[in-house]
Amino acid sequence: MAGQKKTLLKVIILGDTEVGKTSLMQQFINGKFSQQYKATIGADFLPKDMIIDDKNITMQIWDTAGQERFQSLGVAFYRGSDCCVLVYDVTNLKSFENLTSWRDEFLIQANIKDPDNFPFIIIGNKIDLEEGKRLISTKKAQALSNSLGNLPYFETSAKESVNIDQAFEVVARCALKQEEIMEFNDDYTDAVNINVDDDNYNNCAC
Amino acid sequence: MTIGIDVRNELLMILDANDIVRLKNYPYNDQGLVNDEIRERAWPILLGINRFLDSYLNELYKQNVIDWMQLDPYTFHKDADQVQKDVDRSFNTLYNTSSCYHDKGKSVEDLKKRLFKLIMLVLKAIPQSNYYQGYHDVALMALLHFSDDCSSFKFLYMLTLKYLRDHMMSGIHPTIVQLNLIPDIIKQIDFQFYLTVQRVNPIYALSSIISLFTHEIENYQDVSIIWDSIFLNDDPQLPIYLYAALLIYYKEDIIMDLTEICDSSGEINFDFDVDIVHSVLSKFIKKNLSINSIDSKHEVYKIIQLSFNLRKSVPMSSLKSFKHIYKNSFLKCTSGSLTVFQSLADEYHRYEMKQLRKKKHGALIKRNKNNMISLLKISAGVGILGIILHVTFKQPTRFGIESNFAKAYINLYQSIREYI
Repeated sequence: MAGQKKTLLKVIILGDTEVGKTSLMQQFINGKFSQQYKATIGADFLPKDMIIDDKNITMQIWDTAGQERFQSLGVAFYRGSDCCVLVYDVTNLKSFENLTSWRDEFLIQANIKDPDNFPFIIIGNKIDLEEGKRLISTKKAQALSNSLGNLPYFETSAKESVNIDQAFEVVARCALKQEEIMEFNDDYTDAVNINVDDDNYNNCAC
Repeated sequence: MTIGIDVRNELLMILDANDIVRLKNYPYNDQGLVNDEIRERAWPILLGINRFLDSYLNELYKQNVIDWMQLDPYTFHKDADQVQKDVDRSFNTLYNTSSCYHDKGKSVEDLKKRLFKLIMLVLKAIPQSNYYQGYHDVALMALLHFSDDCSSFKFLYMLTLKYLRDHMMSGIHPTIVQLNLIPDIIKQIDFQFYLTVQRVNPIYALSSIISLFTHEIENYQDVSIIWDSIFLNDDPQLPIYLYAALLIYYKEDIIMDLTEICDSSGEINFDFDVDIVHSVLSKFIKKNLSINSIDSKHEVYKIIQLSFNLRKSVPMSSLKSFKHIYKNSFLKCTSGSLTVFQSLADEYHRYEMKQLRKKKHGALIKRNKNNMISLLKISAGVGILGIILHVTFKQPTRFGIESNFAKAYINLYQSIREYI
């Protein structure tokens, strides 16, 4: 792949406090889990190199603070995002109910021009916790994903590394698609109907 | 080591004699207040807890403990849920590096319960205070430095009022305006470096400032020495200067990191440089003052000295961004009373109201603007239609062609003219 242009994709992870945003990122990037992650204050990113359909990409994955009072800071980080991952904890009802407002707030702060087509992914984390603790069923989450525009939905365990790579591969594909659309728009600002070859992105549900 | 013992003995003598004036004027040295035994006695005095305040706070503590035992945490204070979550993930490096001579042998679970209670009691004792993430790290230091929970409470209560109140408002604006002072200080000292730093919003400094460095510096001893410098100077402005000093002290390292990352991503779209600057600045403290640093104590001392120099050469009041600091901010008003806290809360409330009005006004202007555009479009449309009808129906009359259809148009034309 030497000499091939690398595409940089910016991905933001959002969700309530302690749903496992840092753990998901750490598990995906470093393949490890710790009970010792501190609360995230502000936001920061870690890079991850990947190859998607022979394309070299670097995903810049932004981990953010979950406490509501830090939400207004997003305007400083969200700009230029290619994909947004909305995370909730399957044992925490409030974190699930807040997904829509996280999405809406993101669209405003990131100043997304075409909100209906911006790629979001929903992740229900902590499925390793015992079944009795679970408060949000797959069906319920699926219904929300559908109502928000058929968003890809994954159930994960950052602790036991379940479904992490699968979820982030879809994140990468959606981000790549978004980046290409944005580039296309930049190149042909007059274009109204963007003709994207669906066959190239058949693995991406967004 | 001899110097250490001398300083220790001298400080103990001062404390035994209860010589507050001499303690407050004690020259800052590379060991700060030497050890936790002295800190436990000196810090409350340096925060202004005199005998009168001490007995008042003892009573307040007792009363709050009674309420605490009677109510469930979620009725006790609205932020209980968030506090609990942060306490659950406390007790990492800061705790592991502490000498913690009071708590040897006690279980972490027990300490977590005490930390939760401590935070809740202080929140309850300060009406209108709001918990923020990072405060739990500050509270952990308070818990570990004192032998009994009442002393931790009294210390944290005063620390909150005097050094943290801006961060405890219902929104984050009073904190954000403080952060803007940091690039302003750098601008006066190193313009070239400022050009790099000013590219990003100074949110990279947020966690250090609101947690008084406990969230970023993981070595308990290093944080203790930094706190010594702040309290001995009795100066709530010092944390801002300390942060600016950290940036200047590690400038070479920061520039090196930036160059390295930008070089390795040579083919990457350079629009993201701003993000890289933010990221490097968010990490440099943890990276340079990690628990594995060989001589962090020495470095911390040099950084503290640098912050004193900065404070002298760049007074905050001379900075442009200082105008935006709230009148009752701890940067402008050093009193740590409840009244000042309430005044700040009122000031912030007025700011919020103003923002809300601006937002409404903005929406109104936008709506009016839209209405105006629609009105103009209608007027132009009607005007053009009028001209067309005028020209069209002059001709039929001229040529003697008059139909019902034409009459209807004439009526419409006339009624539009009347309307206009």
